[in-house]
Amino acid sequence: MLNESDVPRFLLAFCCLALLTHCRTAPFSDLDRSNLPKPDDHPEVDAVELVRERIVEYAFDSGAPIAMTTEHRTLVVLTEDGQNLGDFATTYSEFTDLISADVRITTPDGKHKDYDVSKMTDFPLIQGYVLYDDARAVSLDVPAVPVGTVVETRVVKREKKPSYFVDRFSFGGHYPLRRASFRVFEPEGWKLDHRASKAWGPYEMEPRVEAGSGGRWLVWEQSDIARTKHEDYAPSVWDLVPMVAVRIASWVDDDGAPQAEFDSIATYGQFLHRLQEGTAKPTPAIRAKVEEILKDAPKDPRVRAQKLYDWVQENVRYVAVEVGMGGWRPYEAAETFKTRHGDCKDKATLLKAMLEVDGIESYLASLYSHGGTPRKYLMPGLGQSNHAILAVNLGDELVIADPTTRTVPFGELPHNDQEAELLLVKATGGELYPTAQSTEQDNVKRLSFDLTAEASGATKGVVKLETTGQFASSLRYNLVATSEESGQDEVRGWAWLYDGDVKNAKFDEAYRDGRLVVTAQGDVTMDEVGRDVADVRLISFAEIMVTPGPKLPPMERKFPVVFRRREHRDTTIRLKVPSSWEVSTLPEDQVVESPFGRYTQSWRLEGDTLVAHGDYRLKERRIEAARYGELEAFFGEIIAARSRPVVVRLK
Amino acid sequence: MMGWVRVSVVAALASMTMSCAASLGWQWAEPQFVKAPDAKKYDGHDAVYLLREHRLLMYQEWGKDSYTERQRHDVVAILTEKGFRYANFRIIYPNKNSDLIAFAARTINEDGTATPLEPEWVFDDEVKGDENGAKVRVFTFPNVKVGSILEVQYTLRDDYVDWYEAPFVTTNIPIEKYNLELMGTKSVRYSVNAYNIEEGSEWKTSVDGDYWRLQWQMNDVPASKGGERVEPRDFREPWWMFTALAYQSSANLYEIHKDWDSTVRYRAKGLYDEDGEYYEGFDAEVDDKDCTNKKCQVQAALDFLRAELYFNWFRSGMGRKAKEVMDSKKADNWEKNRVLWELLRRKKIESLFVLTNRKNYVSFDKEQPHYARLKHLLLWVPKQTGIEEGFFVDASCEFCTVGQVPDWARGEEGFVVSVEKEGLSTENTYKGEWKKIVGAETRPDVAHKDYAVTVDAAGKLTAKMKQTRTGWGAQWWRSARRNQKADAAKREAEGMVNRRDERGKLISDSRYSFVPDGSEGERTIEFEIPDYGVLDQERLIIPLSALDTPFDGAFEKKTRDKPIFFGHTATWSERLAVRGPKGYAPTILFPSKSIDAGAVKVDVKVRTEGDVVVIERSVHHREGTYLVSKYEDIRNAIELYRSVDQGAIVFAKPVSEPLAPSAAR
Repeated sequence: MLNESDVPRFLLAFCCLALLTHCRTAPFSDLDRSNLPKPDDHPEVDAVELVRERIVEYAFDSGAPIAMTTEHRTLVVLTEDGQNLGDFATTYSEFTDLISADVRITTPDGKHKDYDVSKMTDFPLIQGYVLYDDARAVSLDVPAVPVGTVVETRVVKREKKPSYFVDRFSFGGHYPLRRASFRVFEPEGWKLDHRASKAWGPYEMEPRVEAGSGGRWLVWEQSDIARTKHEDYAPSVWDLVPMVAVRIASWVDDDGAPQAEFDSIATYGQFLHRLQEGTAKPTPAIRAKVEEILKDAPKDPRVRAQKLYDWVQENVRYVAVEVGMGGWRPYEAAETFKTRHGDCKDKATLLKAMLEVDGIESYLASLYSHGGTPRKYLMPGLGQSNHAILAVNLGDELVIADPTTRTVPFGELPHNDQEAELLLVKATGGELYPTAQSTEQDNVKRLSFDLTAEASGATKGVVKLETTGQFASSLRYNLVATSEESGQDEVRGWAWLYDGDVKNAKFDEAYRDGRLVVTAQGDVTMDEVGRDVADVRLISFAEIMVTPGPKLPPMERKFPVVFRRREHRDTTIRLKVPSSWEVSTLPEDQVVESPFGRYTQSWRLEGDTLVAHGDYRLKERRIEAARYGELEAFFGEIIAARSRPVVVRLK
Repeated sequence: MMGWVRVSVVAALASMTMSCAASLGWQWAEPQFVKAPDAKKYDGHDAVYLLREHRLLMYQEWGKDSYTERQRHDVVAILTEKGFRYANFRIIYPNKNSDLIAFAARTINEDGTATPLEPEWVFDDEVKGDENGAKVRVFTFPNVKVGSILEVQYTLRDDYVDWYEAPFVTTNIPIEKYNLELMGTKSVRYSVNAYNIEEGSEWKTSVDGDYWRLQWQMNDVPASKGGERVEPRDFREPWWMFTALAYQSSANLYEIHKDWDSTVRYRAKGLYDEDGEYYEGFDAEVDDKDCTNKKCQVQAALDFLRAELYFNWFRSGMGRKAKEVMDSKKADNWEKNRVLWELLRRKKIESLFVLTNRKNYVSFDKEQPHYARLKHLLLWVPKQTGIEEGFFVDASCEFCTVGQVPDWARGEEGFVVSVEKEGLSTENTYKGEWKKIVGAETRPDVAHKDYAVTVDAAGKLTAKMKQTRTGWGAQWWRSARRNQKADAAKREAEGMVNRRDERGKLISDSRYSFVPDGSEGERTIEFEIPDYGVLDQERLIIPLSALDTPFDGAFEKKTRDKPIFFGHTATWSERLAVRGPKGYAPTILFPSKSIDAGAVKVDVKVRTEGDVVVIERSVHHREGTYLVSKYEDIRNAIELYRSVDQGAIVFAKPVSEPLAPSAAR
């Protein structure tokens, strides 16, 4: 058997490619079945991964660095639910040549069947949010495999621009993993950057160094890695497990001269700047539109920037087309202006061009738009961000603006962009800049009900809703993007009533202290307020409306609980009761205090009106697993408090 | 008002003439179709089709290449920003050999000007390597705003003649004008019907040179909309079906979908495994050594299938190969019955395939034959040595014993296909016969929960709930949860406890267990809810809201405009025994009551057994579609059922009043 370190793998791969249809044999060795895991060993998982291996061999070829990558994975199917794990897919793009893809399915009787790329389907990889993408995938659908089947896959690719990208490898996942190995070949005279991390924080994991022909191997290995089990409100698996990232810091060309694409975040920013250069040029048509928009605008640059931002938000439809470098290079502002559609970087680029017309400087900026767990730039390189926004330099302040959002006002950011590491792309160099976080004082939802009950329990009245921060943006989107009729339904949804309807809703929006406030008001009808049981009526928050915060089950928690935002929900109910109702019992005032938030609740009888007030504040967005018990108790006590009823005797 | 109207056209025998190959032309829509719609009329919708045209041309001539052209012409008005999704367009070609022979798209702006689609915003791509292959064209309209009108027209051409089309007219958004035009050479004889359309709607037939032409249109087609307990879509929304009956080629008339025998011919060849491929490698064996007769052997085969192949739902395709089915340990209705047929054949028990439909799930027109309209498969075991009387058997029913037929098939008509050899021919011929599917009733579908509840003086509720299901429900449970892991089972139990009261805490849960014949399953969970009972002076009020019910939120709307549909007959019942704290006795109960609303029968019984209050409630719904006029009765019955979980029982200390139904309710 050839030693991987003796012969560059990519040479072997090229030979295989050339002889693909004639002499190629499946690149798998005989399987040792003596030590395979059994279903009883792992009753809670569908499979065990025996091997996950990635080999990256950097080399200099035809005047540029390339990388030959080999991914090898072996897993054993342990349950019927795992029977589709024989299916296989891998992607490639303009930056990647797919050299080979092989799958071997070995059934429990020891027989195996091999599939190569000629038996696979090759299709355009158009993801949900993208209109068109030139990336492709090859996939193989195999019939359901019996329990005990071993599935082996081996994929060889040639990366054509590895100096642009960061290569990453994760140690862990949904299944137990017996052996994970990441081997990277560093040619002599080259310098590779590498960094281990876990949950985007520092992680101690140094590579083993092995000598190789013409360079050295850096090897990271781990064995017997437990699976990462899903937990509600936890970050995704890939935001939890250890990871190693590697990139080419510098290489030597044929003449032995050192070369580098970028060596720091600063030069990476310059690289992006060059990539995007010239796309934000204002055209006469753009200039004319800017003049039209700012015709009566005051001189305050913030107001002027806001007007231009509002125009892009409102008039450019989100459409993503990613061809070649199109994932990073925007369409020219002129094109986006003409078609009135574009993706995040197109919209940001058009806004940049419009701001430039008015003499306002701005910088494109990229970040990882997250679902609650921000990611960090582990090192310079493409593939670490998924979103582009704009940093607007107003002289005395830098406003981070996301014109892709439809309704988030200028000066605020959607929760996906908050607490993120933002890379400002400047001609002078990239700069990392932390985006702000919102607090419970920013994201406020106030509901107030003014109701009158009849003896039957039927209730009518008015509901008022006032929102700020992310609540306001979200409500505003639901109103501007839908029909009037659907907007009416929105208010019912936002009132969080279990039963009841809201009609004749009216909406308003205004800026108060520089902050968008969206309000609504509507007529409420409820067939019955509370619960008519025996000769009493029970009225509680839990009977009327949805409880804020989740119900968390008792469990041994391993991972943090992550919420999307800190928030404040305040509800007041004024319920005028009929004379035939006699309030028999009022629940005691409730105060639930915790480091994560606070809930207070009171019920009062003021004359013939029951007045209830519930105030919920979530001050923390991420709670570590060690404090799960406290968090569970916090929400449990809120649930209990809201279930305490007023007892009304029916005369 | 739409009704189930069937408008039918069957081609008369046309004389054979030679014809020139034609092609569908195209033009932009007439000005009246590119005008802004009345926004008020479409409030609640994100877009509306001002015009939707579907044209089909079938060319079939002796000695010439056949082809089909399909043309789509859409004019869409964008009414809201959410309607922008209609501006992103994908044309999926039927197969890799399809050609896009005409294509045009434009945005008509609010001021009436048009913005053309630039070629650089059109992307063509394809799927390679797949047996069928596929191509796709992707594009987005330019300059789209609320108020824009988008127009696209394209024609796809395939090198074969399309013998069957059965699309819905309805879409997610309303259609102002729907035009259908079907054309074909006179050699193609056809049948076409439209269903669930306005009375009086007619097909226009004409002859245009060597072609026949059919035209049909609808105005103001509402958006497709589901709802609570509504019939399947093809019973209530407009659709049409075209089938080619036969085509004339030179001197021969080739029958395609002329009658049921001709249309099921190719399907029958596959079912009876004429090419010997389906059962390749299939080596399953049924242990029936204890059987002394063929019926017992059939039962043994059913038992074997129940144990070896979990049911994974009803489908209508021919299924995977038998070996693959066995390896996967799961099968759909077709696969189960195809495997059963082979198991019986190996035991020298003759059986015939029966093509049919599940009751209430497929709109079926016996007058327009097409095999694709028969979506369910079962077997007929005819009279033969050892079997005195023929019987139907449906292996997809896991709770059926020999002689029983599940509700979904009993009473339906089935097309029993038999194989014959004519004269000295070596080829099989397939003939069918319609037969009413009969058989004994199965164990009914009953879902029952038995709660044993105690409440202490502090109001803490402790409950043990045993859940059982029989019949179809047990089969479904068994299939859906056969691989459920302990974690998932616990989460499901927690969900059940918390669905009605978030304070609930799961104490224990058992896994599902099933009786050997698959007709019954059960599990038990225990839970507690602190502070559940409400202390009100000397009384303890126990709301019954923690009862989990399948009819939460059902039939809440006071009025209804669609018939009420129950797909099958089932019973949901609960028995609740509540024991109060020591020294307390029940004081106020609510009365027993029953309502039989035809579609739904509800019983609520309340009594005491010593200090224990026993409440039994059940709702029994009968399969069928019920008129809107029955809605109020049905709703009242369901309300009675739900009144239990909306009510309470009251314990008092000391016993202060005689036990009697309360007037308070």
